[in-house]
Amino acid sequence: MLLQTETKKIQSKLSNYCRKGENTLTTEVNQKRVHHYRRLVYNIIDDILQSAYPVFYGFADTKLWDEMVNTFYSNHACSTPQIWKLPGEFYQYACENNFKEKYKLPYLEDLLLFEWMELDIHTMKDEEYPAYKTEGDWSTDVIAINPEYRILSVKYPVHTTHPSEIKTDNPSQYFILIYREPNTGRVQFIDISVLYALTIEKIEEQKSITEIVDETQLLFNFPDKAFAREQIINFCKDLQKKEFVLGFRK
Amino acid sequence: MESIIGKTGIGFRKDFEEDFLTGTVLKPHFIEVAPENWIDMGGYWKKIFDKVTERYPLTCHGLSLSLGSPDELDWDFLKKLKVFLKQYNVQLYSEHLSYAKCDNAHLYDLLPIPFREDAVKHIIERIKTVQDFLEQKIAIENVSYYTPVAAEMEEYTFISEIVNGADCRLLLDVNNVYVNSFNHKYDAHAFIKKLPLDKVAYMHMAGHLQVEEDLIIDTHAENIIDPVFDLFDYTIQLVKPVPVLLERDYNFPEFEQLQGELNRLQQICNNVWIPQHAAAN
Repeated sequence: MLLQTETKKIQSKLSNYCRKGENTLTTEVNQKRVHHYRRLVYNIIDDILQSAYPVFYGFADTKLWDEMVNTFYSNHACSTPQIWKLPGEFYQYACENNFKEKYKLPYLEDLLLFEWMELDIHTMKDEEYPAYKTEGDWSTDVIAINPEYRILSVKYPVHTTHPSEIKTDNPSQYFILIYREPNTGRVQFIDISVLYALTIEKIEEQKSITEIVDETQLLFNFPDKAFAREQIINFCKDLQKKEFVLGFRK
Repeated sequence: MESIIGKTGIGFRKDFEEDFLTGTVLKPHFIEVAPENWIDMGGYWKKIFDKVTERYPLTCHGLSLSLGSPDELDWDFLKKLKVFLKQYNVQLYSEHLSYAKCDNAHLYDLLPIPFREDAVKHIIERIKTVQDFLEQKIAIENVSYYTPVAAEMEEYTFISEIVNGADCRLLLDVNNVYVNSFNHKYDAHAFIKKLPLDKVAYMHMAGHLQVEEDLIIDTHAENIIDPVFDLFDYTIQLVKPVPVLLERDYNFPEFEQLQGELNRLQQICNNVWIPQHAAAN
C-alpha cells in the first residue's frame, strides 16, 4: 500500500463525517464548505430509499423516516457498489436491528420486504426459462412455471392494506406470490393460500399435481382427493392466464 | 456503428426511454451510462437497454470503482464490469479521480482525494491494475470539489502526474474546471493549459448551480451557462477531436432545449475540428 497512514486517516475522517456527521477534521478542509458533502451524500441515500419504499415513506412522518435513514446510514457499512441494490441492505438492517419493535411498527418488516421484493423482482437478472409445451395433462405432467418469482410469507396484509389501516393486534399468516410477467416485465402479486404456496414449492421440485395431492394429503387431510386435485388444477389454469404458469415441462 | 470522435452525446435516462428509442427531437450521436446502474439488470430494463444500445454507440462512466480509495479494489465488481464492457463492446470507459468508498462502506458520491504525492503513487498503481485487468485503457475525470483536503500540491499537478504515471486517458470535464476555478479562485484557462491535453480522450459538459456567493455546486441540473461554453470553445482548440458528452441528470427541460445545447456543442466542435481535419489532409 503506497498510501501513507496520515492520508488514509484524513480520507477516513471525511467519509466518516459524511456518514455519521461527526466532524473530526480541522484545518485539513474548509470548514464552511465541508458540510455540503454530508448533505449531498445523505440526499443520495435518502432519495434511493424513498423511491424504493414509496408506501412506507408516504406513511411515515418525516421525523421517523429521517431517523431510520440516519440510523441505517450512520451505522451500516453499505456494501453494494450498485446503489439500486441498497434498499435490500436497508431491509436487512431494519430486520437485524429490530426496527419493528424499536419504532413500534409490528408490520414494518413485512411492508419493507413486500416493497423491496416488488423492486427486486422487477430488476432481477433474467432467469433461464424451462423448456415447455402448451399441451399436456394437468394431473400427471409436470407443470412449467415462470422462474422469475418469489413467495413471501408475512404476518400482516401489507400487500392489500394501507399501513394506516393494518390491525396490529391480530397477526395471521399470508402468502404472496410475486412474479414478473415474461412479456411486459411488469411485476404482479397474488394473495395465495398455504396450500397453493406449497403447491408452487412442489411444482418447483418437478412434481405433478397428482403427486402433490398425495404428498400433501397428510398435512391437509383432504376429505376428497379428486376435489383437491381439481381445485389445484383450476388454480394453475388461472395462473396460466396470468402468465405465471407457462405450460408443461418437456 | 459510426465513429463518435468529434461527436456529441448525452447520458441515457430511464425516464425518457421512449424518446431515446423512437423520439425525433433528441438526436445524440452516442449515449453514456454508469455501468453500475445496468450490471445485473434484467427484465423490462434489460430489454430496453439492449434496444437502446442497438441504436446508439455506448460509452460508460463509472461511479463506484473508487480509484482514490484507501480500500482494496473491489474484484467482484471489476469482474462483472469487464464482462459488461465486453458484452456491450464499450470502447470508452471512464471513472472519476475521487473516492466513493472508505472503511469498507460505499458513499455513492465523489469525495475529493488529498492532493498528495503518496495518493498519486497509490492511484497510479490502482489505475494500472484496473487497466491490466480490463485489458483496455481507461479515462479518468477531473472532478469538481468544494473544499481541498489536506492538499500538498496543486490540482493540475495531481491530475497530470496520475495521468502520465498511469499512462491512462483524461476525461476533461470543462464544467468541473469552471466550477473549481470559481470555488478555489484560479484561472480556468491557465489551469487547462497545464493539463496533459494530449491525453484527453473524452470531454464532459454540464450545468451547475451557484448556492453561495463564493460557491458553485456541480448539479448537472441546470443549463450550461455561456462562460462554460466559452471555456469549452477555448479548450477544444487545444485538444484533438474526442467525443463530447452533455451531462444532465435532474431538472430536465424540454427536449428542444437539450437538443439545442447538443447542437451548440456540436457547432463549436465543428467550427474548430472540421477545419483542423481539412487542413491536416
